[in-house]
Amino acid sequence: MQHLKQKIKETTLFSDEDKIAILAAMDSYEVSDRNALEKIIDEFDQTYRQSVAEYKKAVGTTLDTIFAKAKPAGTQRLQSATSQIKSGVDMLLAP
Amino acid sequence: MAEKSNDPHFVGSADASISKSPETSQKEKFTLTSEQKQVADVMKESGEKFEKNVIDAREKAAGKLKELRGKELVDAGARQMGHGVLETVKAQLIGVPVFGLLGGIAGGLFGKEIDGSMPSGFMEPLKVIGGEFVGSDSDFSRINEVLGYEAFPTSSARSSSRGDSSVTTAGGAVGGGIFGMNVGAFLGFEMAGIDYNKKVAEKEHLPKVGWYDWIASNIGVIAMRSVIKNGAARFILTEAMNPITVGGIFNIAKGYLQLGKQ
Repeated sequence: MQHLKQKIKETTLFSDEDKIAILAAMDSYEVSDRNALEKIIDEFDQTYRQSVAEYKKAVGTTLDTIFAKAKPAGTQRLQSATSQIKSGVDMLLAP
Repeated sequence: MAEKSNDPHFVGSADASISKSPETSQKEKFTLTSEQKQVADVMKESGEKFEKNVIDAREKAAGKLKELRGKELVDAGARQMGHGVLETVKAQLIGVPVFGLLGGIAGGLFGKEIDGSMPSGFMEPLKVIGGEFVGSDSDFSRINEVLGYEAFPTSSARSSSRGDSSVTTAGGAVGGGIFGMNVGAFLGFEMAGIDYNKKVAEKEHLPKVGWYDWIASNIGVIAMRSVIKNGAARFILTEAMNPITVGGIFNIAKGYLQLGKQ
């Protein structure tokens, strides 16, 4: 039960309001529903994590290519720019 | 989605495809460097795929949640439909119920700052978007009060302004304010709202808006430049919103602007 509650708290599937309502009612759910809920959360979170990874990879690859093609004079600027964008995307899409 | 202009000097967002009038002068256009355009393109294309994956996954989860017996689970399932990445990112914001107001305040500040610097054709679609996003006249009044100037018109003024493009240039503060509201909402990721896309974009044949558009957009870049320079807006954003989210936006915007420097 604690394990599932932790998953509910951490999942990106539910809003905070939904999380509170579900956690408050958790004790009243049947075991079969709790098991089904855990599976639903796992599936969604896995898809979300995978999608985030694909997005970051696509953006990161483009940024790396831009940096790799940089002329010597622009290396420092582009390194700083691409790092900033990468860190921004990381922060924005952090779980 | 509307087709993107291949013109590197396009006006508006890569996706929003805000049309250029023939009289739009060269000085009114904004230039993206090749690096900026590459980043905008990949963020848009990958963002669309990302968004679709998340929406699909949410809808799949929704179907299963609705089959469970707990009312809270069924309700949560019902709220999943059509929600994408936006919902996840929004969850990082503090005080979501008041964010509309805060977004409006910040947006009004941006609007005031950039007022008069935008080409006339640029504003019109944004006025429609802005008008749709603002709730009530009392919201407008509260925002105007905080801003200390009339950034937002009453509902009747909004209605009449939609059909009159001259208001865009004549009503500087109003146009800037609504533009700003739009940007403020955008910063809260509200601009990518489902309601806008379903009710407004389709009905008005306007381009749909995705959360990923902000970085692909000149609007976003210009607005962020304003944010970074504007102390009051910065205060609102950093104090009222989750600093991690704000930090992420700032980092992307700063890096994106840096890509444009020669």
